[in-house]
Amino acid sequence: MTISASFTIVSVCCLCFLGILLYRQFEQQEVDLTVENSGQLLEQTARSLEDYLRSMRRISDAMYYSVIKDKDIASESLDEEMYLLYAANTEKVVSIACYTVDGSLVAASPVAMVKQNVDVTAQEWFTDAIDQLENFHFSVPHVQNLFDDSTYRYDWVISLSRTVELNDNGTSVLGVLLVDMDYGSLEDLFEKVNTDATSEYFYLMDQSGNIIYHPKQDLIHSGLYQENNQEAISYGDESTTEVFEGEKRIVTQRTISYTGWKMVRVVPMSSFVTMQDSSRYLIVMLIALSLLAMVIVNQLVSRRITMPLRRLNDSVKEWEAGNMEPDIYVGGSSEVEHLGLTLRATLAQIQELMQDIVVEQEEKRKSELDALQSQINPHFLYNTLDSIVWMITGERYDEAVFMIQQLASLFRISLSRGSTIIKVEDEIKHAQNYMNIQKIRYKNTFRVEFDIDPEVLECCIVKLVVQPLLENAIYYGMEGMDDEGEILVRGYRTGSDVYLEVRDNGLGMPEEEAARLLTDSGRERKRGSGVGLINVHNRIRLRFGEQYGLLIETAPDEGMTVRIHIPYIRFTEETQRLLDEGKRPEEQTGANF
Amino acid sequence: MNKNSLYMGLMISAILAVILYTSYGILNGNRELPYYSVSVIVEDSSNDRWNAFKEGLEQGASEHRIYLNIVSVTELSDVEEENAILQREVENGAQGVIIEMYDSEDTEGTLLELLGDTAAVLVGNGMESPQDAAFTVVSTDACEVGAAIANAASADYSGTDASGTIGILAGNQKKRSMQQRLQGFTDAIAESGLRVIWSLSEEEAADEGVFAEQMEQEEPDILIALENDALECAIDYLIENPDIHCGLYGEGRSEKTVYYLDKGLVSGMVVADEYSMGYQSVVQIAAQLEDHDDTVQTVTVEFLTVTPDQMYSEDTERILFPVI
Repeated sequence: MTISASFTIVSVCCLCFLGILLYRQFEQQEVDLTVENSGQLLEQTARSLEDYLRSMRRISDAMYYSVIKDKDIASESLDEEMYLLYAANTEKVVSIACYTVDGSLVAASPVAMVKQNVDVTAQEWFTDAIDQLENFHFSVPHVQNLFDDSTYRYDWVISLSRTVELNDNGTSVLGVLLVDMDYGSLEDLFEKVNTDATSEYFYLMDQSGNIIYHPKQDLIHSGLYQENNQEAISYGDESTTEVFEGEKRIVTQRTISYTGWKMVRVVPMSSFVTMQDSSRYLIVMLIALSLLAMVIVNQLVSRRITMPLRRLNDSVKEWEAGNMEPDIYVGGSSEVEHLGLTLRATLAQIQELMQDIVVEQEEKRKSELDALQSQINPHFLYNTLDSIVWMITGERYDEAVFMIQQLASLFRISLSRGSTIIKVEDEIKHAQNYMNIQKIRYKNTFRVEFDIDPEVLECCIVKLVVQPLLENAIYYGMEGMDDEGEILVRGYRTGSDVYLEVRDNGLGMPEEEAARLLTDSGRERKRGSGVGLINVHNRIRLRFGEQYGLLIETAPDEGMTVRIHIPYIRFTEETQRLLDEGKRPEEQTGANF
Repeated sequence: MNKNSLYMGLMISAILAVILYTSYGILNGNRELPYYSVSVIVEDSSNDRWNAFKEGLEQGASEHRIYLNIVSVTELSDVEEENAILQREVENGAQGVIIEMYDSEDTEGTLLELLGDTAAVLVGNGMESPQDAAFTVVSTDACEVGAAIANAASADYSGTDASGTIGILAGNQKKRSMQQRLQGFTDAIAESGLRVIWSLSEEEAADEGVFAEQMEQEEPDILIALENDALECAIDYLIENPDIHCGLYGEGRSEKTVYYLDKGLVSGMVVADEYSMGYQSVVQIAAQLEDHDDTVQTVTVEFLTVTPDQMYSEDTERILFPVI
């Protein structure tokens, strides 16, 4: 998870960074492209307008140089040639007219009635022409106010005026030639480029910032729309970013040659929004898709990396849980495989070492057991042989023979062909032999009774565990007795447990002292074979487990009962062998104890 | 499910949610917003006097998602005829109606009933009770228009020897705007010393010869026409009777009235900015349709008083001669 999460976080950061960069790049490219397109479209439109204006100047030139200069207005009419020129350009031109400098009409086409009371010399196109004789003059759009049209028609025109030299009866006089261009032609030109569905638009203004054409010029004049034309006039022929009425826009401008008019293209930044939204959604979607792919790949890669480690970890956990021979996973990358192999070898080594330790401990335990068992022999043998010597010396040969027989039987059972596990029956027989010897030694000052269940006789027991209890009963129970002592040896089974108890009616002892019999291994014994109850207790626990051993019940002057608690294990050669090896018969393949 | 799978599931779900959202955004971004169908009902709709108004309507429609249907209507004879047209448009699925009411008296209830849920904007006329108006109205201030005509007439005749009598063609006096114009005119003219000697409503002048008869009986020094049709009627009369020399003033909009203003036959004319009226009408109805703004508004449109010698000034040109 950590590897996957780390990969994912790094991926998300990288993708977000890339996404932002990409988005910025897209945005900038879109603006650059728009500015470039804007410039190109503006250039094309400006050229069209210039062509249109040039064609108007050509009409004026044609009229002047081909007609007016060749005619004497005193004797010749300009009407025919003027009409031909008008007819050839009727789509662009509303009228052509020529006036003398005092405002009298020389010729006009199409032929129309001149309005009464109209002073042409006061009109702007006329005064401009007179004021600057050498130039063409383009007026701002206005309604033509020259001719009377009974169809109630009024035309919006842009007047192209110039001064001309008229030949009046051989005299050169000044006049003004007027070509009224149809404003509708200009509108058509702009409407073609303003049909874009976006909110960008073109408009045209003169060099003073007066609007000549604007797609919303009627709204502007009604005060319902504002244009930043007065400020835009100060911009150069380049793209400028401005903020007008809270809206950010890109304004590109181009000056129309000769007229000084400015053609302006306005691209509100809001027109990018729809495109930017699409780009934004697209980029976010691409990032999300990349992220999804990255997460899946990360999962696969991290799983590929971590799976062998995880399986190796599972093997270690299994081992920690107690399975001493786990199947250690070996696989994955070479490093993990090496780890697995090393761990497997290490565990095998540990297993081997543990086996060695178990064997060593078993050996040690056996040695201890043997040592414990061997503690019996020298004392008892010395005392018994001493008694036999005295019997022979006292010529009590029968008793000596009996005692030697008992001693021989005792040692035969003690040997038991080297096995530490014998049948209870043999153990009881051993105890009887021992008691027979002791009874002779103590001149029958006590009485022994054996009461053993027959089924108990058939089960397994550690050899030589009853005899020390009897010895204990004799030395601590019987010797101080004034009356004849009694020792009862009982054997019985309770469920899976077997109890052998040695009960005497001796002096007994306090509970605290009795408790020390099983715990204080350093306790100094007053007499006897030196094999204490703790010896027996330990031997039983070593062989059968901690839950088994001796139990002592005693109180001062109430005798003592020492009870051996062992599991019921039926004696066979197999069970004897297993117990000798330190294994439980019912758990022959299980753990040692 | 362990914690890792839960986190991974949540992360993948979040990513899938983002993908779905952006897909919706991309698809939805390309979807066009709906257009609304709006019918325009004005009397004599093909008359050139509506040219500027139609230009304004179209400009407004181009800026909003409005399909305009300018209903072909001839001269109306009564309000029932107009109601029938309105009902037909509503039944044909018009989502909004821009209407010039033929009759402002007791028609509000009928209009509400006919419109149902259809949005509406009244042009030129308000209803009888503007304070309780149920409809948005886009119009000139009719009282001011009447006063402006009176002022134009009185200015030309002050200090002259003329007796200062006035005859009025008061137009359709069922229209609230015409009533207000007449009221505005009479109030303003009362202070000038000029005297109204007769006044004919459209209904009264409908019978052939009534107007001419009135002129013959009592020729005024000043003839006032409070609306375009009345002004055209007065122009026609004065052309047919060149011997009659009375000053003609009024409200006009058509090419004919402008032409005779230029010729000097009309001495003074009030011209409403009908381009603005058309544009504002669409803006108002678009607000109702697009933004569901049902606030009732009264939008006042500007007007100009034009005399023959002013009509080619820059400001006047744009109003008088709409660029079509």
